[in-house]
Amino acid sequence: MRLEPSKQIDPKGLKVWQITGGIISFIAILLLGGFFVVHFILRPLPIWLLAVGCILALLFALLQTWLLPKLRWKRWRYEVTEHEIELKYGVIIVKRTLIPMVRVQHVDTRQGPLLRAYQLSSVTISTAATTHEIPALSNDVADELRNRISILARVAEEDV
Amino acid sequence: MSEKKRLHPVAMLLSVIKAAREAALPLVFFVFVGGGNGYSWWHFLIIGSLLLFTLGNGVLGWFFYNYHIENNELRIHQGFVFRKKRFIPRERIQSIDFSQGLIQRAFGLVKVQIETAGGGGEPEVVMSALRRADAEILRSELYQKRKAVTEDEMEEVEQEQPLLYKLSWRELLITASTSGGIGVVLSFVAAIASQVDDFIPNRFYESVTERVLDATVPLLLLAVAFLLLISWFFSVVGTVLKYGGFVLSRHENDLIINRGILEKRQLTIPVHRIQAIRIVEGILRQPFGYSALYVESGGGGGKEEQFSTILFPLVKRKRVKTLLGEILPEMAIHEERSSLPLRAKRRYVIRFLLPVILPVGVLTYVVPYGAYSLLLLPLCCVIGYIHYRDAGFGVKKDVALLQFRQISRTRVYVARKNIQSMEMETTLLQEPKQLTTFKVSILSSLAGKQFRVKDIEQLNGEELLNWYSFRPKKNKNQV
Repeated sequence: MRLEPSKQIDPKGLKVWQITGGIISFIAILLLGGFFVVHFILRPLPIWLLAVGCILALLFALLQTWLLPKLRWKRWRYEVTEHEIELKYGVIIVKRTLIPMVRVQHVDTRQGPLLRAYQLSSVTISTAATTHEIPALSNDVADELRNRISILARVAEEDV
Repeated sequence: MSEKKRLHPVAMLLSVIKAAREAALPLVFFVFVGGGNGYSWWHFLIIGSLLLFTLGNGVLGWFFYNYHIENNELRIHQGFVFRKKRFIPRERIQSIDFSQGLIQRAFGLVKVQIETAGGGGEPEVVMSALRRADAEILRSELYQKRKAVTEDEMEEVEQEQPLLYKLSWRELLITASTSGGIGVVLSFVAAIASQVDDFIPNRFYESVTERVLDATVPLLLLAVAFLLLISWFFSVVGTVLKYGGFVLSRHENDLIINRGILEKRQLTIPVHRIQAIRIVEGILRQPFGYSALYVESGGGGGKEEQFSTILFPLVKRKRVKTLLGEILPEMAIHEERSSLPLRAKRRYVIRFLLPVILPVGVLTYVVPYGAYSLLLLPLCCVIGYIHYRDAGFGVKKDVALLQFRQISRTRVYVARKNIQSMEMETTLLQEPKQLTTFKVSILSSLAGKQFRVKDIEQLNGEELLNWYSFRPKKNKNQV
């Protein structure tokens, strides 16, 4: 058995994902509102259609704001050692990724407005062929991680 | 070579031809549509100035284009209005290709294309016309620390090349006639269908033709078969022109590929740039024991080759190992292969059944004689089973083998040092069965390329991760 990566991402990340989920649900609900507008103003639609729409929207909102972010957060694990970076994440498809330090081309940290509001950043690791992201780390951890990976990658220099 | 060199003056001609080809359509439009009320002097003025502009552009473009090697970099200066300088470090060059179109051949010149890693389909440098000797010098300057050899020395070296693989005419014809893949199968099917026609009950025709159209079915089928045959014929001719005179040779640390009948191409692939080897057995070739060899490298490769380079278009299965062992001993080909667990079989079969079941159901229910489509179901089972049977993976020392089928049976050999990252993907449905999909990413000319084998044992997946892992451990090779 291979040991699983152990570090978790910042708890505030969960909040950010829930807010993102909330925004998406809001858009879905607006769409549903469109149906009601048609129903009341243009011409009546069958009631079952509206009911199904309401239930779907509710389920969707529940998934987006509660279940998925929670599972996603719970599943996210990463570990950075001297020789490699290992990630494990995903709800429906669990992905486990191994990136050797020698293969790292560059590391970025970045944050959108939402992440910034919560003092979070995500770290993006690029190889010559792929890009990987560790989402929602606190600014300090992210900066430290970026610097560390960058130094380790430079030590492990080797041409492609 | 620090003095600046220009291209051969024929480059001017080529640039004008290229411009003319690009301008042809708008020009025709301009002449025919614009000249509705007869031509006036300004028509000629515009055309004249356009012509002058292209000519001038060709001449000035040639005059201001020069290249030289300095500080281990290829430096290209070009442009007179917008000056562009492009410096390419020698170590970053992935491949240098020579090709000869008709014009280049007439003047004994070559077109040089230089590729670096990534950057999409277009080569980073295209020099449309260089004297052969200049091109050879440029290449030897750019590759390693080899001394620039003069032309006759070059020939000498070429004569004593021990390793040379040629594609015989017979092999070329087999390659050409089996390359069309699905097209050939379709034409075959259509040809049979047109014969089978007599055996289908008349009622079928009545019900179908009444609903769909009045044209007779045999005529329609014949037309389709004819079209497919024609397209197959063209694909054969195209392949023959493309791969005619195929010669693969090894020259120190480079693989050199010469091919083409009308347009001659020469590709040079430095061995250390090779990322992976792909052995593909197409469905038409597999029964005869033939396969095609591809190499994945950082640069080169066009769309039709899926952004990799064809190493040899047709090899007997038994000869693959000897050929690669001789021409590319760096890549240790092996036959170490584990199959998938039995419980993966059902998943493979379902994967092929699922997309078919719904359409078949609809056909059976709606279309007369649609129930014949039920025959597709066992066919899908067989296809799924074959995909399951042929999937596998293996590791020996530092080379991993991934075998899978995407219609064609494909084997990919990739060295540990060329794997950019490795991934295990487990879906919710795979989890309870302890199966996983493992995925390997390598560098290719189009950003990156992924190869995957679905439904391997989770434990095996972890062993593969361990094999790939750079974490120091005791028994690394025990996989």
